[in-house]
Amino acid sequence: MPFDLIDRRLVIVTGKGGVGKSSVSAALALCASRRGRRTLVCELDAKGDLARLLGSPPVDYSGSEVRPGLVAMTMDTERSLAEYLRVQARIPFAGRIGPLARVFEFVATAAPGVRELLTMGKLAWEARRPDFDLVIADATATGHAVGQLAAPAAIRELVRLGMIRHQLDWMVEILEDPESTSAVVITTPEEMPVVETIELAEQVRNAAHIDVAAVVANRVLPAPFTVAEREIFDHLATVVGGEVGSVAAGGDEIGPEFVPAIAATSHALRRREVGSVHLSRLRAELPPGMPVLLLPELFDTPDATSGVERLAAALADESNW
Amino acid sequence: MSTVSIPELVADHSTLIVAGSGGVGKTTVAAALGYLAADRPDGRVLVLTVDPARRLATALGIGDVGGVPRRVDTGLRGELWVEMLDARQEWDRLISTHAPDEGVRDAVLSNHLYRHITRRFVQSHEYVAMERLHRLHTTEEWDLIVLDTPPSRNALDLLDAPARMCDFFGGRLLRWLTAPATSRFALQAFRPITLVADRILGGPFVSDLTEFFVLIKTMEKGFVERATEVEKSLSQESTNFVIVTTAERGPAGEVMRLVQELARRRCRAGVVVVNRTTPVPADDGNEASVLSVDAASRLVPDAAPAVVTAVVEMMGETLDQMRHSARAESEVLRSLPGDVPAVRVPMMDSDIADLDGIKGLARALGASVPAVT
Repeated sequence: MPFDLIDRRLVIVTGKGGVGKSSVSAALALCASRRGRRTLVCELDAKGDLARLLGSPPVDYSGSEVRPGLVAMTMDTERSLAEYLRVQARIPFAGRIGPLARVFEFVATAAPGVRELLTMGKLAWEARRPDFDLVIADATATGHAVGQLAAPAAIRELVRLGMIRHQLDWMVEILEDPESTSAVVITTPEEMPVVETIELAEQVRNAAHIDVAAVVANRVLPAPFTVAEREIFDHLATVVGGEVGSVAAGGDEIGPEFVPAIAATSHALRRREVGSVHLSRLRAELPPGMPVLLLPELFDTPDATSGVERLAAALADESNW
Repeated sequence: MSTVSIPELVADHSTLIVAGSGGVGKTTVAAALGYLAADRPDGRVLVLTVDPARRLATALGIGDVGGVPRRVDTGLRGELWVEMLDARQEWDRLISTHAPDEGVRDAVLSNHLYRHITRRFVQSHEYVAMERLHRLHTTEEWDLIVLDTPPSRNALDLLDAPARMCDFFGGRLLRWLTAPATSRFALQAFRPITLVADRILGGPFVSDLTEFFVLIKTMEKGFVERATEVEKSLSQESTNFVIVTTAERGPAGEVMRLVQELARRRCRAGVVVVNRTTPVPADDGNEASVLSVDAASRLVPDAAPAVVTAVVEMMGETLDQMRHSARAESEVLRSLPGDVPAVRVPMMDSDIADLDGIKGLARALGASVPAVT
């Protein structure tokens, strides 16, 4: 499968809350920087997970190099506004306008699209500048995602004149060009995330006009048994279920020691079966040809960073990098 | 650690607000709390939800229809109703309530900017969710309303929404922005600023914006009174917060912040529900489970020994993995704030996407055990 996600300028990682967007963003950033792409990874909701996952102390809007060729930052819309006024609008005293914070607070409250615009504007601007080859955005949860991604286009409908109109034009041009910008939707093999992913992929394409390059199913449980093994497991579970406490010919009590393992394995098997149904549905309802990459459930990782390393290895594997 | 009984919690309050990070199962917990509450004679319970998954919405009978309560056929002694928030309709209602006359009302409702803000941007849902809750309460039709909170990047945005609304109207900024439209002197004084704004945003946009806020300003009094009332209702004795989390570090960290913020606002946090915990006891971190292949072979004597070995190994590995997850979870659970009782609800075998799933979760909530023992 030829899969050139890391050859884009801007990759937006989105999906339902709690599916592992930050982990996948971090893993993707590691893959890209190791393949020689100068990479900027930006956490949009500033919870600080991203820096922790990359084994770094907290980062801020100015960004820090967390690995060779990999800079991490968090979004700060107020600083994005100040930067915009200084660099783009060439209002040099912008940083010194006393009530800037108050003005910003007002603008963001009054016209809620402004925060989204400043976020997308910063991303598009970094993607356009030559400092980085690739910008990865660890984006907000589903409910906000389309509003966020479509903000520049939506505001462009309102603003017909002025300097910002020109800037919105190039912003939208970068965002709507599939060669430059792609979204990746993260899900888990569960009902709600899968349903939301199918809807989100459709909306990102048709409402925000942004290309969806792939769907990543995270926390996929591996198949524990072959068909023959499964038969034996079921047999064993039935026998133990019926005979716990019975006494074998040798005089030992048999069975009880298997009970917790059988319960745990049965639970894992049922979760996997349910997960497989959801994955089939995901594949069936996404547009034909949309790649679905599978990343494994990580049970025992000593710390967050090594978990991300394992995801990065799995991601590289799935993408044939 | 203090203890709590969830059936008592739902019986003793008239509002439960279900809060927590995204993806932890707030919607299903809200529905299950409603189900528990409806299991008493004559109880009338409403679950106000914001963005339920399609199949759950269909199962609960709300499908794509928002803005009106629908009764769920549960066979319980009481009545369970569910409503999906219609943010657009709620904003329009708010404007209709507070507009001084029909002219202003129609001008706002048809204002391009207003339509844009209320239809496209999710943040505006937080305030109207609170507003809807308050409105439903004042009808006195419900014994209990369970509010499933909107997905927000920050669980506290919801609490801040009424205060933000007051600040917005009370602040100098709205006055400042509307000043050029109301006074010639202000027009001159603000000229440098409007020039900058015009240069960046384009003239027509700025005048649209100003017109919109002049209209909005006429509704100041009503909006501020209402938002103040809504905010007060959050700290009433009959209102309680149910905080939902998973035993993962991120959502659990959010619990601490939420509990502190609630305390600061004198709101009541009744319980932390730790959802989807691993359904096996934690291990002590040292020993792997030892399962005897011989014993297994005696139980299934006809099976090929190599297959039995593989099966037994995999069973041991699976149990160890789950025990390990359980141990990692109990570490996270110990970090939860000690002053709010926490209960755990084990992960179900399958997803909760229909009424049976909600029933199962309600049973589990009813029988939930302290998260830290």
